[in-house]
Amino acid sequence: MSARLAAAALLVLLGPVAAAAGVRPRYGGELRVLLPAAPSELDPARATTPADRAAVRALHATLLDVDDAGALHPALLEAVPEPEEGARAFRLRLAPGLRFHDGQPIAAADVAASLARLAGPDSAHAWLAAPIDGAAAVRAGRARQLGGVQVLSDRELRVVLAHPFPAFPQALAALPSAVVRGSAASGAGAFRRVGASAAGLRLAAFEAFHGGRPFADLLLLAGADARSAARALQGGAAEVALRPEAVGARPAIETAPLGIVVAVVSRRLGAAAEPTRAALAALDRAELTRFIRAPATPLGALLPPPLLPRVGSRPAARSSGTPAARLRLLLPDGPDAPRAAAERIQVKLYDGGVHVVLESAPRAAFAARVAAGDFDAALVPVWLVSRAPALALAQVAAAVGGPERGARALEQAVASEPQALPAFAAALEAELLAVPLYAAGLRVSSRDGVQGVSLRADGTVDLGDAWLLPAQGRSP
Amino acid sequence: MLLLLAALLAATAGEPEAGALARAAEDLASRAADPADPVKLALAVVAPGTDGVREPLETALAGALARRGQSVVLLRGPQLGDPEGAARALGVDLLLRVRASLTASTLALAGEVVPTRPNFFLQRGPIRAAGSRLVTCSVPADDAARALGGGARAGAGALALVPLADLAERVLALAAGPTEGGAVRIVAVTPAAVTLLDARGALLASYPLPPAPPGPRVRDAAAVAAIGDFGGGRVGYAVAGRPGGEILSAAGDRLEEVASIAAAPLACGGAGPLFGAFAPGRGVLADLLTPFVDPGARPASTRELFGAAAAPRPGRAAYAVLGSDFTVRLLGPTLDRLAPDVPGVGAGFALADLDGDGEPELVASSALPGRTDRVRVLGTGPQAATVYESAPVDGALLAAAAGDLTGDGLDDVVLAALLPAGGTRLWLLTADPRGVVR
Repeated sequence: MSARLAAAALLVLLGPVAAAAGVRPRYGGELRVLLPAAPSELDPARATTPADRAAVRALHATLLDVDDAGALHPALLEAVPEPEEGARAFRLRLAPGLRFHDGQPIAAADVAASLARLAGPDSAHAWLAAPIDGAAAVRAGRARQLGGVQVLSDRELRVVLAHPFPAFPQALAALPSAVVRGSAASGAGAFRRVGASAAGLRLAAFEAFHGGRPFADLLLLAGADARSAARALQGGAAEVALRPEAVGARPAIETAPLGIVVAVVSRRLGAAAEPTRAALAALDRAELTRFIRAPATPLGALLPPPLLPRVGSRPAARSSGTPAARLRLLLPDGPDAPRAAAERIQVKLYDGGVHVVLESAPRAAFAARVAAGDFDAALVPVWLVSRAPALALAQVAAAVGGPERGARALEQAVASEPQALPAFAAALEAELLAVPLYAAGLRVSSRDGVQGVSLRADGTVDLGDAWLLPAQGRSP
Repeated sequence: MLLLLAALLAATAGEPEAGALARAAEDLASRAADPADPVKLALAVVAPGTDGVREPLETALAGALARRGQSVVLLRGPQLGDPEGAARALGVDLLLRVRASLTASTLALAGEVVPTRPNFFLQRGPIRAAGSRLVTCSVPADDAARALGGGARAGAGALALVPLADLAERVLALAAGPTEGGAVRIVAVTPAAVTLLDARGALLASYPLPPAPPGPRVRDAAAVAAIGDFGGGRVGYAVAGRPGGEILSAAGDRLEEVASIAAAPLACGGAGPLFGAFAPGRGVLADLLTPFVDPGARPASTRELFGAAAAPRPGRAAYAVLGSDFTVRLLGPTLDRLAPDVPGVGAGFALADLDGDGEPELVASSALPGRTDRVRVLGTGPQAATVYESAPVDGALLAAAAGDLTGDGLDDVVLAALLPAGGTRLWLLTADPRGVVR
């Protein structure tokens, strides 16, 4: 593990402890949180960017929680489900007394509907539900309900999988698997939506949140660039900023580096595809990483080292042949787009005789074009939703090759022995014509007096634990 | 010393106005007994930390009660472990249990008159009949009382903060004081149990908390605990997110459930118990303070509290209440507000007469977050001057309680520091120059 990764992992582990040390937390007040962009997608099954994931983490609740060590803990469920029938079935039982933000009780039928939404064609994370029996039909739009999900009572349901998957509960702990009501308008997270305006998305504390009412009364989530965020923190117009760069006077907390960026080459380049991939793989990734504003570490495999140990021998990209002389490099729009990396690649490949043209597309169009192979090369950012290696590899496969490839990759990864996963990852990397570049995190900056900002294992920030120290609460 | 003891005993027998003990006994007897209603009465006297006072005081009280027409039966030895049970077994009408506290300047008596007649509806043993009442008095201590008390000193030694014990669990609340048998004990509430510790911090008993009710949890685990007039030396506790509180018996160094109450027992000291309630769904208390369980009581304001402390030997200040703005409000025995509030006080706080001057000091942890904490001792007068400040200690001091843990006749304070690596270290703040728990 690199020093930076080790430090980041340590920070994640120490985060909640450091937050808890000192004084008792107090309730009340408003937390104004500045994100790289204003949240626009509040559906957990569709959120992919850091800004949207921050909002989804505040608004929604998952069936299980996972800690930094990977251990699962009950959240909406009464207990972590045990595998049945050789890990082909799981019985889920909801904790009693749970409610959505609209006051309606959370029932097993809501869980079934949420899993079906997750598996559906509109979902950005359908691969997560792929192991569930009947998911392929839902993914293809041929069915609306998952055949493998059986509601047994108001609080209990049984999930049958298409193949054995002992780590399936890890999928239930991933943020996209959050339980929603209807079209995700109502969630069960620590905060409930009360409105949106030009100032941002306004949320209020949910008194009946299963994990306890959050400390802050109100939460404002807004977008701001680095300079505006720094000014707002300094001027007392905001309490927290979640951005690639540190923007406050106080030391920032780094999230785990789970935002990976992968360069992908399209097969439509024909004979130039492999040489082009080889040219990308020959880039000095450590040097490239220095141009990234976020805390970042170069990647030698599809997943960062804490998730996937590096293996000694990896299949090298074939370098025979000539790379494409002119390359259109596709990247998504948005503040979290890997534009700095793309510009550096442009410079470095130019030195090698490849003329790179940068092309950006709105996020939805970008995903569709990547899945359809409608590009020369692309830089694909993937914010991992789980540290479970099989799930993480499936997410990368889905982001690069589409939902079907993601579903297949998950089945293949689950069938692999743990020690064989690095080799599987390397094979997947070659099959996808992918070059892992770097893994990045984010920095949480806060102004003086903000306490308890804690990090989740998936790199999101738990704002329910954040609270404000009173100005007068200082020693005389 | 023997001559002095003989002189004092003679005085209490023949000239009740001559000594502090006799005057206190007369005063308390006049409050506890009605000459127009003579009854058979069991008398239980304890004097934790000042054992020499117990027997002369018992004699003086028995005489004073007898002069008021009461037929007095003395409870001694093992009977003091469960005085209510002993009183019932003896078939008396009333139990008067008295706890004496002696400082260099004051002799204070706190008594509770408990009806022990069998009740048709409440005949089973541990259930207390309604109608108990508190009686208290204090008189200036004299040389004879101080000599009998032995440990009470006119001037305290230098304060010292010494480690007492390490606990594996996080301590949410502390209480200290004499339990039903008269021995001074520490009670620590953790997220899983109520534990009874001896004055050195050694585990004596543990009482697992009942399962939490279904529904949302409380984000920050919190609890309150007190030892005192919940039947005399019993343990009261409440945990945020659970309805009301519970009273536990600590007799025989075992913790057993006695009753549930519709309030949270916040603290208990020389001026009596203080009850309140957790704010629904939160790990803080509502602004609700009552001297008795009052299910109909409503918060006085929207202010939220971290906790309350009671002085074992109250002076002008009897209680301290810490708001979630880290400001302590000092209250008198009748909950009258004493100005001004003290800002910058952390959740590890207590009221304790550490120097024996008859007025409790405010012991306060820091209100600033950090990996270390400190203990300050502030006067409770208008200036709130800092009279002591400790070296930094690891972790965060998040709970404290006062009681005479060293047996020197002066209050000490036990504090719980949540350690960065987990677990809790108990610290003892004491003016006992020996610096140890005897």
